[in-house]
Amino acid sequence: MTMTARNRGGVTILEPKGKITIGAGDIVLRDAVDEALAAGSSKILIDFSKVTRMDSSGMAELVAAFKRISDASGQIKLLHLPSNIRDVLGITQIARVFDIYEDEDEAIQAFSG
Amino acid sequence: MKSDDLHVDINIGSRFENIDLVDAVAEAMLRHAGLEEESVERLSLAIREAVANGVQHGNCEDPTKRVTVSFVLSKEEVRVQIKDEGEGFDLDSLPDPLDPQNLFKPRGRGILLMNSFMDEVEYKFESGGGTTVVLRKTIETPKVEDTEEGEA
Repeated sequence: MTMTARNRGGVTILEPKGKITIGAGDIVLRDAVDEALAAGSSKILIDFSKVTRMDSSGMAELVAAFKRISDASGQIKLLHLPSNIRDVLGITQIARVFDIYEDEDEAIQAFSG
Repeated sequence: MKSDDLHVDINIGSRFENIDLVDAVAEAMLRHAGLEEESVERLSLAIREAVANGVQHGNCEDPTKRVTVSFVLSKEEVRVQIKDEGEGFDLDSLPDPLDPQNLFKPRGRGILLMNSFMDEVEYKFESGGGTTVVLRKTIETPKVEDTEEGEA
């Protein structure tokens, strides 16, 4: 899994590509969120459009990211969830925790503060 | 097992990167069976979760310990047996991932996904060590071979 990051309107947009799975993608996600927080970003949007698979380790990392960002008084939102990712986040009820968007402009505008 | 069943065994060392190999074989076999893409995605994820449990929690990522995966694919069902060399675990000790107070706990979701996507999930704990998980799913709508329109 590869990760790119860009900034738009004060929001750090993380763009993972590939699998967010045990031992690889989950660690890349953790490092990217930590890097964004360390750089002072408190608004993080994760664009899932190029994510092909997420397993339970990836989900654990996603909720851990939610907690770390919330503990830092930040906000995290999700964008462009593919149907298979939406499926597993729904079954595990993780989807209920996150604000999920289909439109980047709308997601950016939804960040407060 | 019937003569026209497809049977594939894979034996891997307990390294995370080997899980992707099993995943690739699972996806290929499920597509070969003609399952819809959504079913391929769900079943292969359930298989991945069982294999990952064997590698991570069963064999504690010890690469000298093996995880054996046996796929049997028939016209009626998919049956996958995943065996590790670990000391087993207490199913009841795992947190319920759907309980809101367990939201930030890392464990329990893999088994939830297996139970959600398979018809049967069976655990066998060997007295001398080793856990076997058997996943079974009935194939409800096998793909019908395309035929030329008007063909007799």
